[in-house]
Amino acid sequence: MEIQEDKRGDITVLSLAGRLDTNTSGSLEQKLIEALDDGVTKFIVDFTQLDYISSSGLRILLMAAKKLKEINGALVLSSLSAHVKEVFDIAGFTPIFTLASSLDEAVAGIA
Amino acid sequence: MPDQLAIEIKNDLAEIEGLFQALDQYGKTYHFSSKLLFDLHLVLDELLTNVIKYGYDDKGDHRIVVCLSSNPEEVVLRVEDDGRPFNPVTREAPDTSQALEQKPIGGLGIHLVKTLMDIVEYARENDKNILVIKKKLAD
Repeated sequence: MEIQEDKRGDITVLSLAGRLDTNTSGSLEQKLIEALDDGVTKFIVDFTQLDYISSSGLRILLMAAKKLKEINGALVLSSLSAHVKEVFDIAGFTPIFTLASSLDEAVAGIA
Repeated sequence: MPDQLAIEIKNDLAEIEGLFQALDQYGKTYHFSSKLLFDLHLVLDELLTNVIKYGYDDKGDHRIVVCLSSNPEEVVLRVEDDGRPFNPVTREAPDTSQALEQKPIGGLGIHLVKTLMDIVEYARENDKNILVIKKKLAD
């Protein structure tokens, strides 16, 4: 999985490409921890190029959401594919995450 | 007779990748939809990750045998491992309606498997866990 990191004002955007699973979720966790350590409190994780997610990926996103809630931060996930969205639905993640249909919508929602 | 794919992997997470390549090839041959392939990837990923990470009491080499077969009505997966007894069928489903603060980290893999597939059967035979999982293809 590739992770591209960009800034939109004070928002950190992590764009994922490929598969978020047991073997790759550690690299997302690392990126999130580094940004949190740098004082970032607003995150968008963009799923436009994400093909696949397993429970290991869900786990990292849930940990991030919990952490950001504690510190009054924000996390928005953008552009989930239909298959990934179904995994969110089954896991009960859809009601507890803020989902946006595009990166621009995510930025507008968080700013 | 349905064509069968049988693959043996070691208890090493890196081995799952090779299995996925074989699965994709099989899916291509039998014209699986992208959704069916996604679900089969996820199911195998969750089950094998569980076995490899938590299934063994020792650090030695173990073999996991995965068989995949299909006919026009259904896809059948069979996973056999010699880890400690683990029956996912009787595992209680997590409460997926919990709010963010209450939601426990983890425990979702088996729930995904059971929800995405139609039949999950477990047997313990000859000190092995045997899971047979079916996904119906007819509407």
